[in-house]
Amino acid sequence: MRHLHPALWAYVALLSLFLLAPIIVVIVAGFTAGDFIMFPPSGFSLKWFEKVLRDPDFIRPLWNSLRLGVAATLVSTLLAVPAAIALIRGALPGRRAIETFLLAPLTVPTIILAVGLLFFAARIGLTSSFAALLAGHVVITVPYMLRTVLGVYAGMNREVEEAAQVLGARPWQVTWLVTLPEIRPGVIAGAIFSFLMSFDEVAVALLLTNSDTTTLPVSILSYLVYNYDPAVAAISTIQIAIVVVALVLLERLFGVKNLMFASR
Amino acid sequence: MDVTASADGRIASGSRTEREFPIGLVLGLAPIVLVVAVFFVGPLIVNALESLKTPAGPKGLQQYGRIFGDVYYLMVIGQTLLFGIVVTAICAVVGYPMGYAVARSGRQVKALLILIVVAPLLVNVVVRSFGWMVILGGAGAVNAGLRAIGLPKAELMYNWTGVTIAMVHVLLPFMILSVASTIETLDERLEEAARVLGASSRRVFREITLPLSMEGVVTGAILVFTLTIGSFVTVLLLGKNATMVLPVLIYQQLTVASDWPFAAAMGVTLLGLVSGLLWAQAALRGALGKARR
Amino acid sequence: MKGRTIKRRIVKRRSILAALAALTLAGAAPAYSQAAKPDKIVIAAYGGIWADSVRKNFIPCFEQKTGVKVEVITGESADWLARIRANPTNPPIHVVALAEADSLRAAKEGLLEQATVQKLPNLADIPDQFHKPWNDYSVAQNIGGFGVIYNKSVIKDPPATWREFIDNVAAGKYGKRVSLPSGTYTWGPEFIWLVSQQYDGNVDTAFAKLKEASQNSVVKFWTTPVEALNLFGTKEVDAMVYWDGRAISFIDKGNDWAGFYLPGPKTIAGLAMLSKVKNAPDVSWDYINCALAPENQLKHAQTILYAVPNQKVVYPQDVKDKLAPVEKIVIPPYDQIFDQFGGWIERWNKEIR
Repeated sequence: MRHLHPALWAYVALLSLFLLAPIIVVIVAGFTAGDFIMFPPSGFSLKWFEKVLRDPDFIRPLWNSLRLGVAATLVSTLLAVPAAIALIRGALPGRRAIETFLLAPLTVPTIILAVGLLFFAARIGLTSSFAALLAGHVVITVPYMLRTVLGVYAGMNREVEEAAQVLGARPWQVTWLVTLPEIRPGVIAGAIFSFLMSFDEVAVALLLTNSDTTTLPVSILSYLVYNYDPAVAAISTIQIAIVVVALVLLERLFGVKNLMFASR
Repeated sequence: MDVTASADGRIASGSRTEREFPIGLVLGLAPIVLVVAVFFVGPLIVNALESLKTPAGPKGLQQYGRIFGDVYYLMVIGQTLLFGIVVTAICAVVGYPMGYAVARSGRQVKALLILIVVAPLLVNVVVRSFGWMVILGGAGAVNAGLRAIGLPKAELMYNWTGVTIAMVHVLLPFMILSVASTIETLDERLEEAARVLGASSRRVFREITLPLSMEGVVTGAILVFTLTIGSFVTVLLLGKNATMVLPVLIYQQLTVASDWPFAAAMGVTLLGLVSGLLWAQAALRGALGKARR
Repeated sequence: MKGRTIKRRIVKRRSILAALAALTLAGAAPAYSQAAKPDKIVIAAYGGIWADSVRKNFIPCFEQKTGVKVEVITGESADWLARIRANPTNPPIHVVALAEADSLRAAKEGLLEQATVQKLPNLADIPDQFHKPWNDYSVAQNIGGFGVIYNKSVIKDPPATWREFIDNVAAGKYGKRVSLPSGTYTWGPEFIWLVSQQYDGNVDTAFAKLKEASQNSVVKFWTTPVEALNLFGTKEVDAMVYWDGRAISFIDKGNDWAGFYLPGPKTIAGLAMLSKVKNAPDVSWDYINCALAPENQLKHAQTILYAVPNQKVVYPQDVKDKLAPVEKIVIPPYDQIFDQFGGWIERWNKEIR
């Protein structure tokens, strides 16, 4: 336990309140007996949760979103981590250009990418909705992964790698046993970003999903075109619960100590 | 931080590594470059081609002429970039202390803080916006509180204030976690050594921790900036017509106006501007880094 | 000792990652093929209560008649148009529910198929105004009307005509507690046209009035119906221009503090059109026929509380009171004004701030 200044803790408490405020509103609103998202809610009822849990138009997209998020994150990790290592170590002359190129998807509004991808996928004959979706989501999430891992690796003290080399370790051993554990905080942070980006992504999903692969944001949005009730608050609460449980499990399995600390 | 500089005189860090496996470099970079080249550049080319279409028929730069020849659109571009800068600055200042706290807390507190920090991202953007309406609206929680203590009503919705608050809220996690993961990897012995040598806590922070964690702030800033200027749902729902940004215009042109060439031109413009800024940022840091030596 | 713990952890982590990978790949959806008599067709519908109505009132009729299954895809007109534009030879949607302007665009681009009484028998019972303006490429399946929903305790005497209402709003008579549809909403241009009609068709006057309204009365120009109802339901606004079906179902849910009416002399229609997409299986016509059949149309009207076009439909009195009478509805002359929409939207962005 480290001692942090009490003023810092006060600040943390205040900021936490700010971060949680709309989330709490939405969660509480799902329990309302009334017909609107309002705060404080009018009465207590579980009817919206009942409605949502029984509705395949919400539950199936929830699973689709989870699956897609995990897939996109896995693929992004496999692509970005070797690339980050190669970029930092390689001291290539065109490094900046390559980096800018690989980060470029961040700069395009997803809606433009979505329309382009819709037409492009049709043109190259990519008919599988899931494949096109995955491609789109990987393109969107891989820059997060890359930038985060690059940032951590670039800022890292590389003496340990050198030491391992001097002690006779082969390059791949250095990577596997020294580099990867050292950059793990960046990988985990990047993975969390990537998953949440994919989970919340709207534009690409809106255009590339079909009725089998509909994701939760799309079904919420479609619902919200003409339906105004707190059912969306209820399904959002369920969404929050699932992700929180997943993060807690992650912490149990890997330990936050290993998530955020570079192993020492 | 440049590779060759970190060794300060000793083995040029990494040089032995790649002399022994240049193939590793290629293998590491090839897959990602391929994926991005196909599934990003491909759609972009489709968009660029679309942006060259004109109502008359022959291809040309007419759509770009509409954008750059009209003060209104130039103003919207300016507003968009300014909005991005403001949100980024706020996130950096507000988020850094939190990132520090996350990095330096003990295991259980850290786990809890990470959950709180990612909370904004757990709810769909539209539903989250409704949550903000409830809090910031004229009949909402904040104003109810102000009324209770006799203060006048605060106009927090349908203007830049509300939009900025909501945007900062959802992008803070990116800044905080970037900063936190960088501070995590800092060697604490450096700070300890400085303290042992008599430096005050404040000085240690200012001269050691802060400079070394800048990389995290920069990462966070890039993420926040690019996300801000690419987002439209929040601005659409919480802003009004005067708070116009380019992505909202693009969305309009794709839907109600159905003028895809125009939308594509705006998208290409946005991409160009941001890529240029990112490039400039990277070049600047490289130049500053070299100058320091 | 520590090495073994690390190894065990690594194995545990790897197996979890492998399981995750397997799970995600298992979910890869296969592409479905377009056989001559397909085992299913895909139709587009708005979400929530609309999709419910379609499933309850139209689909059983079709499935019984043809044995072909129906898949419903929800969303909005703009995304459906995008999808059929991307894939004209093998469209992912077979029956679309585009908005009026999008239907015109799709027809012009050759994406839709023209209806005839042979292919679509129930077309004979649909009045001309609901399909002729689209040259029979699209047919309306339900009709909404723009009206005014208001807080009865605040506004005791709502104005009977559109002109009076708009003049009041422009002058700020109700305070800064009004909401109107945005010019950039799907039916925004039609709304602008409606306003201009109150001033002899003068679009410049319409924009001037809306600009004054923006300064004096309007809290927010709503861009989606849900945003609108949220504004009204949470009492941020006292008066709002809104769709009849949604307004009446809101009041019906026990919100009798709210009232709704259609200002005179006429109001514009918001139509949900049905079209068969070109290159979609021919059996899709049977679906549209089911949707236009009088008994199904009546049930649809009772579910979503919007009027329906089939003139053979006889509403029971309690439902009839809630629906917009066809005489009060006018369909904007799309062929004349459609080309101006782009300009109006641009003007809206520049002038209404």
